[in-house]
Amino acid sequence: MTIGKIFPFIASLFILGACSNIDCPLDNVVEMTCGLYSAEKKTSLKLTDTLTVMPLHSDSVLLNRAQNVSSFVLPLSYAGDVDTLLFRFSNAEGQSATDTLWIGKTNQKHFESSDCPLSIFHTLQTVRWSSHDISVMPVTIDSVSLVRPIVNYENIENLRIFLRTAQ
Amino acid sequence: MRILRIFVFSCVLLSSCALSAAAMVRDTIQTQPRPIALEPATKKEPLLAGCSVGFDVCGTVMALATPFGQYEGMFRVNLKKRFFPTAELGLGVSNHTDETSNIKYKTASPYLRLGVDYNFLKDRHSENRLFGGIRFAYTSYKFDLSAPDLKDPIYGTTVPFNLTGIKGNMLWSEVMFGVEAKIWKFFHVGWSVRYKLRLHESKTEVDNAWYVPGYGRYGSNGLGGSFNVVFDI
Repeated sequence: MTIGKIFPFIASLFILGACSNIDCPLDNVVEMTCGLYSAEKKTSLKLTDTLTVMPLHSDSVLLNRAQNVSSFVLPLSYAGDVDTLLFRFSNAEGQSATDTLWIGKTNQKHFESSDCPLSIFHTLQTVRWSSHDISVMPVTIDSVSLVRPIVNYENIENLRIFLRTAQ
Repeated sequence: MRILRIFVFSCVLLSSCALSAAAMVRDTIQTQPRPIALEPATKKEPLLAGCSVGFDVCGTVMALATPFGQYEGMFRVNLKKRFFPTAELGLGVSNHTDETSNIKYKTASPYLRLGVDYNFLKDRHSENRLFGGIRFAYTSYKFDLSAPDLKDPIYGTTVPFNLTGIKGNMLWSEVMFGVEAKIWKFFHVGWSVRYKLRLHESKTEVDNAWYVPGYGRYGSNGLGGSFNVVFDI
């Protein structure tokens, strides 16, 4: 093996090594994914009524008048240990009612790279909920199960919300 | 400014490579008449044929001109002019603020590499080396990370992102290949390319690091290099 053969080989390795790339994830939004299920059949449910989700003590709307949805995503607060979310159900007949979801969590600062945006990941720990009288509004939260505690860039279902409807 | 730095760095690197290659070619030409076959086959090399110290010019230039780099020294033992057990001790440094994200990353931590080189040249009495080697390296490092405050998506409040003394460690191996040429008496220069493979690492408080001292950029392709100035002692 001669220097004439070695030099181009090693020089090309240097050039290859000098290449830099940015490995930021394409989906860099951290949101909790919720699926809607029928409490009676335990199967996925498409909500025909209107659902609006808001946090307690805030003007922001996290989910605005969603209809015909079977799943949705919600952001979580960066600092709080418990997020209190108000689920407001309404229908065309003018009926409406609000249920509450309390989500206990921890927050972890996440650094990917110097050239990527920073994020806060979450680990869900507890879930509590309230239900309303089904006669007021014929759909309510029956129960909630936590299926994936880690909330990060992956849009994988975190919560299963079982809805009870008036038959 | 950044382009100028990269240009200067590239010029230094290429001229260094050219210098060592030219020295090796010159030495090869000068030593060509020496009949290797005439050396007595039974001549035994001493087990300890010498020791050398050196430092990595490439890492120093990177430390001074790019967002990260390392100040690295090495100590090498020459066994029978064939095997070269080597220790490399360095200080990896970075003090970098990204232009777009405004994230500031700062570290200055030591690392250690231990390994051995093997000289492939048939004429081992030559002062030049064409070598391959392996290294095992370890660093226990700390870094500071600061960034503009994050805005809470629900309540609109700001969350500070300033962390200091984030701890991490990494164990990795390196496979390397390189050349080294004698320039003058006890003075040698050489360069190598290295492929690095992570063996073990700890997750940091913020999951990832950006620059790991001695290893390089955390998400890089694992290729690296060095340009060593070496003195026989």
